[in-house]
Amino acid sequence: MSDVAQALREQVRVAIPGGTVSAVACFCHGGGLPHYHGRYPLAGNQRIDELSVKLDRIWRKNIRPELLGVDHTVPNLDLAWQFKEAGLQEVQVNGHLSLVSPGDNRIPAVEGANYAIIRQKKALDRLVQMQEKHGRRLARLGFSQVEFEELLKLKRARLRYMQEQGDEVRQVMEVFTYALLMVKGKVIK
Amino acid sequence: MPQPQSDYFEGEFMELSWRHAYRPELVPLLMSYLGAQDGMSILEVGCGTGFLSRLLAKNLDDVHIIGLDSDEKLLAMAGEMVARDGVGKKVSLRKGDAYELPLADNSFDLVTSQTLL
Repeated sequence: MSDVAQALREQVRVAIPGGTVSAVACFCHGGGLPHYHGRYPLAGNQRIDELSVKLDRIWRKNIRPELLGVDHTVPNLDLAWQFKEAGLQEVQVNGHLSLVSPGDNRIPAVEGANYAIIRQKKALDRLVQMQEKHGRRLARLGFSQVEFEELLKLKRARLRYMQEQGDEVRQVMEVFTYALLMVKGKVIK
Repeated sequence: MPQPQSDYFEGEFMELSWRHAYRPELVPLLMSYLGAQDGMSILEVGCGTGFLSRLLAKNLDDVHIIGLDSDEKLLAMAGEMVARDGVGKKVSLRKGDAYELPLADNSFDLVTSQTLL
């Protein structure tokens, strides 16, 4: 949010005296979460990683912030400090790093495979939209249309493979992470 | 003008991600870390598809939860999922702005949010 202090003031206002204000924050620098792409027996694994990282850096720095109405130049959010500034007492911070792997045996096989395939499909859809709406601007910023086409081609091939070889999805170590920081404070009025 | 969150974070995608991030073994910790307990009146600001509100409703007794969001598309999805999960008696949804909550002073035991701030 662009004005965390105002949002917290409102939350304190509607909470009862002695109540609690808390939040789950996605703790990450610049919104980047670690994501390990599985290695499928396809050509271009390394190239997908190279192109994805390059595109993501340009996107996150130049375009994503304005689409979401956030300022990427602000310092990293220190939510515990913001809670204290809002007058909350006994502020506590707890962290949890969730790892999600489609190959995780705790997840049913079909659900694990579907999870990876749906994520891949969504990522591809988003990439296509990104190219349609912002391709020219991204090219000016350093990610060329040729690179875009190459990345799309490789990603489509990977999705096809995943859809056709569902069981294989469970055999690679694809990992998604969710770095969660939970902050809570007591309301004193 | 920022676009609605639902245009960027597709609801189905968000739902899937949270469902896997909050695996069952994390839920008791989450309740404690957020300060959520049975019998509370709870507000979730920026509820999106209502994942957290529904999770709280499924794991707490005798609670009343309001999920608030400014995005009508996400609220519509949240409404469907609240009905699907059978937690309609515990969760109600409202449209509203996080900077100007359309709610009275001193109304909730717990005010919480997920990746909003």
